[in-house]
Amino acid sequence: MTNWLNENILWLIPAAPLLACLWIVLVGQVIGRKYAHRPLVLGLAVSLAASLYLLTVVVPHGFGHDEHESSHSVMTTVYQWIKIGTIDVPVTLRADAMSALMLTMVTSVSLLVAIFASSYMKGDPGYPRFFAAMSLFVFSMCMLVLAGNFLLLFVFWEAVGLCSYLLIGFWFHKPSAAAAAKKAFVVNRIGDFGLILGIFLIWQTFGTLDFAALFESPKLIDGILAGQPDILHWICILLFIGAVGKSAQFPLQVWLPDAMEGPTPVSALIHAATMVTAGVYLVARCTPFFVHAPYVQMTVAGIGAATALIAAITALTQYDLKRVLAYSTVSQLGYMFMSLGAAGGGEGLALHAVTFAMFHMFTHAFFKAVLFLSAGSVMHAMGDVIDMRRFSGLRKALPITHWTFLAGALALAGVPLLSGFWSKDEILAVLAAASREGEHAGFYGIILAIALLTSLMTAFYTFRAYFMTFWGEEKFPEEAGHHPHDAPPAMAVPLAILAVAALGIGLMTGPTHLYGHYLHHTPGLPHADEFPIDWLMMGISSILAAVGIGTAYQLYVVSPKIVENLQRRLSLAYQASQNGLYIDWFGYKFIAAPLRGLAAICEFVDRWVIDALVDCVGFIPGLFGSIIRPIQNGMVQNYAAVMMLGLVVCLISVLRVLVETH
Amino acid sequence: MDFEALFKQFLSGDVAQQASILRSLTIFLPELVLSCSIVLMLVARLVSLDRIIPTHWFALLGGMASFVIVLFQFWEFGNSQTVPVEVFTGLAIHDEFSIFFRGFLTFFLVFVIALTVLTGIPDDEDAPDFYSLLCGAVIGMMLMSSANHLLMLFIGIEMASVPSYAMTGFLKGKRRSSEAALKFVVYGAGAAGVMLFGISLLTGILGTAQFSELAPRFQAVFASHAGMQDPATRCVALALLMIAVGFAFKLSLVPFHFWCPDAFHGAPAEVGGFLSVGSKAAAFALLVRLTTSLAGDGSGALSQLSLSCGLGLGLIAIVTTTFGNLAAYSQQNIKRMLAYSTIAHAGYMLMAVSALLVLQSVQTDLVFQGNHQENGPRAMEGLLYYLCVYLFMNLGAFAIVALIRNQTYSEEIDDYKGLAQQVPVLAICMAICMFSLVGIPPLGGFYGKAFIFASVYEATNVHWFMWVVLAAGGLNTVISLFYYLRVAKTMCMDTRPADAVPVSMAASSSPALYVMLVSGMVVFLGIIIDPLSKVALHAAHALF
Amino acid sequence: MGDVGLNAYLMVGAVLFVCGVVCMATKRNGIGVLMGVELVLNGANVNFVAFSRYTSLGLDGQTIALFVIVLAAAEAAVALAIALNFYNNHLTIDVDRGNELQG
Repeated sequence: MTNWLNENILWLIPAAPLLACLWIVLVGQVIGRKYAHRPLVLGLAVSLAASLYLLTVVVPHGFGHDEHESSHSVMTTVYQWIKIGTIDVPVTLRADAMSALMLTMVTSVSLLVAIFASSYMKGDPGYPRFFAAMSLFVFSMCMLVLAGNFLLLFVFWEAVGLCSYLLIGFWFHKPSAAAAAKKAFVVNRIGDFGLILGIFLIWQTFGTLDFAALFESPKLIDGILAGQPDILHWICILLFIGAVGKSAQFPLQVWLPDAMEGPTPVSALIHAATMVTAGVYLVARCTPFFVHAPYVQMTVAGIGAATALIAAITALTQYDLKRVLAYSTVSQLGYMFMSLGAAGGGEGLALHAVTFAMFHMFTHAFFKAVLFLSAGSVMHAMGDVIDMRRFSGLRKALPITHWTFLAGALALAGVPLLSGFWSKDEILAVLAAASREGEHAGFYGIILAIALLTSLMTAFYTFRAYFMTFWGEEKFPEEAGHHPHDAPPAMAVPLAILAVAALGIGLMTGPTHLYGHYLHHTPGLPHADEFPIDWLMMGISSILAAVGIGTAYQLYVVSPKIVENLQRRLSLAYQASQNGLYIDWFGYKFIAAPLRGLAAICEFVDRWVIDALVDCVGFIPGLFGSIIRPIQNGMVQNYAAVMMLGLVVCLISVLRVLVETH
Repeated sequence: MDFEALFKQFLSGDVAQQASILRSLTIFLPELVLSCSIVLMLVARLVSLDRIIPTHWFALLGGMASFVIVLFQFWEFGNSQTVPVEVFTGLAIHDEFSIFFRGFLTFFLVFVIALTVLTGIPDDEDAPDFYSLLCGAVIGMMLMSSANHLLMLFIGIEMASVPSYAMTGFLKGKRRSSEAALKFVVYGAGAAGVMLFGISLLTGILGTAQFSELAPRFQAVFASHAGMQDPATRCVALALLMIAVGFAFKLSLVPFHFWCPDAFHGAPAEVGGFLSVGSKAAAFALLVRLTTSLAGDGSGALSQLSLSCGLGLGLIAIVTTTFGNLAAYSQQNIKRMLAYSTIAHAGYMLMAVSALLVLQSVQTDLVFQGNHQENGPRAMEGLLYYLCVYLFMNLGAFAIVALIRNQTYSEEIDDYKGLAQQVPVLAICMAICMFSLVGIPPLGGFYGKAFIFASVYEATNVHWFMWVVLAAGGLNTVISLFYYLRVAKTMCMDTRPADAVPVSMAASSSPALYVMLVSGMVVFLGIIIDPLSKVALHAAHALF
Repeated sequence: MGDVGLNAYLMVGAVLFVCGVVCMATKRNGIGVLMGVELVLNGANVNFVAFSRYTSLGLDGQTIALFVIVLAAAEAAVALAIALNFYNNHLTIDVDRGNELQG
């Protein structure tokens, strides 16, 4: 039994949601439309159980074991997809410590979100469609994490993008939703272009796309480095472009806030907890490449910092609750990239940089999910109104939602002992370490400063949203009816679980090094010493969180007049923040508009040059065809004559060959 | 084969020899089952049983039963590491290759019978005749695929051809049908005659008709006489050429293709579908078996023979593909277009055989590093995969033509305008088949072509001419794009004229399900490639 | 009776073959074409039997000839039926009158 499980556990994880998807699509559309969520919940429960089991399979020594010996990765070739000559594309699933942790996170958050959605989406005409797309998403995400080679990773990288498109545009009759879906897809395409180029380059350089071959043997990389020292820089920069698209980093972050047009559970699952972290996962997965490309790592940190700052500034003034959270997601993803980039600060930092980025991703998944779902619950109660100016003081009307949102907000703000505190603090610490030594100390000093500033703003805008929504005088929009109702049990339970996780999971796995030590078992990660606890950064970040929350309280609860004054005084800055520093506008004006012109030219060329050529190509064979068709004139004797002629020609040529060869 | 031994076996009553005959009969079981169902169908009509049980059930069950038996044989082969056995004192051979084709043909038979049931082309009165002919032709094709002797080759070809002539002219009282059948029979009989004369010369000079003996005898003849100038060698060349005429006729290779468009045009679409796939597959099986045994181990004179045969076939393949595609270009009748497309596809498949022969000619020279031993089987794998995909895509296209004909009584491409609005199922499935015939990924046709072109590319290492073949294959794919897509475009993008005959078909009706199944298989073979390609490779290995 | 040798038989076979081919290619009458086919088949049969007498082919040649006779009969039967069908539709068996299928 154990052997069987060990061998088959890998494909079971993606197979369960896939089966759920097939069931909903084939059967669920007709029978039991109201219960379309059940297969998904069941499938996800199976996947979660399998993922938890996988955790023990991948690292058999157990969690607390603190040795840097890389455990083996579990591999299974599900299926030989293509094998023509030297081209060999197997569908290989591969799990190591990193993917096992990621899978646990994905499946657990998905399960909770699915339960939440079963109540949230109730009564929607597209109920089965929603759950089918969601199952497909979880399947694709699991496959993305489990992919054993770059090609498979790319396939499911695209697949999650497709699911994201389907789910953002779930209410496709809403023009804004359709436009947002399209925008997300198109912007992601730019990143995907980089990724596929990177994959081509890897194939060209290494001759294989297999993770095991690439990452588990340093000799291969060393050999390449000896011959082509620069090639890894190019590979890394291209892979990072892919990550920038998927994880909504500057300058491609524009799609994520718009993606909030989708149903809220989708925002929570795909656009906060799981899919958008795929970019972080990709960069972390490719650490063995990135450690040889310090300048790319600095770029990663720089882009991360820029994104974090811009998104935080934008989040300060948004009125749409979900958009605040979306910008916050972008900002937190920026944090993760800053952490990944810190690996460029010195030899010994790489392992910790990756660990802390992955850890922040882990905690972020929980507290951001609870924030989004709470926002969803608010929306649910307010009759789909999400503008914070139209409601306030919901503390009493929605007690459960209030507490869960508060838990998420505290964690995000980085209040000591909660999840966000541990992970964010570690990122600050590793940045601080990078800024203390090495040749790029100055650069990382700036990054650290931005990170601290962002941290302050995070605390502020999170609690701005919290106070605007839940404090102040009680006010409901007319869409909500007279007595808005709090979350029903199917929504409340996942909220509560996620809230508890947001509060406690950091404490449970952070300072105990449970997460970090487990992750160190990933094959291919560089080895390093224990990372010391940075008390200074802990102190600073605690103070920043307190200041941020206090300011928000002062401005939005005690004396809201100040805000109006500030808005008037700093209207220019206010407008800039409100409009996301006009990045979208820049994008439209200076990228989309010229592209449109180019497209018009292309259309002209296509229509009048290429089409004409194609028509010509199509015309010529037709011409030849009509020349040879009279041969087939229906006359038996004529056919026979041609056949005889053919035979004679064959005979003569055969005889000639015979004579020549003599 | 040794007929004296055969007679003695019958007479002597030796236990071991009787066991060998029994074993042969066991292996022959699928053919026997089909023969029995033919007899049953004819007897059932005599006793008016066909009023109670429709005749197609006999045929369908017989086809299924023999398919199951072949599957069982396949499984037995896989399990017990059986070596190929010569059955009936060497007339036929039982190996993975023949099992593959017998399975292929019986499977195809089941699909064709299902199609004829759905379209109702033989009425109740004619059904026993039609299905007897169909099953008989399939038995002939199965014999072709397991032939190991020149007599069996001829018997197989005749057994496959004669019922085909009758089926082509099956629609009584139709001028075109009778014309098609007459043309078909005249050419068929002529080609068979020429081929038989070639066989008589070959057997006489080499002194054997056994495939496995041909290569050594040829080498002996070549050695004993002073090389190529000798009359005996020339006679062998002439004989091979005459045999090639027979094959060229069956495969409708230029310039022996004339019957094909006329026969397909006049015959019912169902019969067209049957002929285009079944007889092509069987003829390729036979051609491959004959040429590989002629090439032998590729040493000495055989290498020369193999190379020139390969290059000659390559040239014919180029001409055939190009001719087929060009002539298909401006056809108005869809059956005629599909007939030319069949010619073109025979050309593509011939490229695989050509590559095989060219590759085999250097089998013993260790010129190339790597796995050149694998190249021959790879080329065959390509051909077999192509045939399997071709089964579905061509049958699908002909089935749709037949279904539409049943409602509109027209087979003109122009009458297909805008069918997507009325029967989206048929239009989509037709588009799938057409795209696959072009060879657009991710449909099955793409991988078939890719496999074949890959082995042609391998063969370029041996002879530069294969580059020309490869280029011609690529160019032809581009050319074929236009006329295939024209059908898809007519069906899906044009608007249906107001005065056109309306067509209706529920998506859950059995004809629609049939068409969906067949075109679904085309898609399936484009996505799930490995199992079939493994089986094909396994079957191909039996030849070497 | 003296033995005339293999080549004489082969000559007869070849003559039959050529006659048959010429007949097939030139006759307008469908039955005439079929007769040409029979000539070709029998030319081959003469070869088979001769080879079986003079070469190592042995009894195989005779057997093949027997089979060919049977197959030729079957083929002729079907061909005649088809010719009859053609006649019913066209009131002639001139093969060049069937020229509706072309292009």
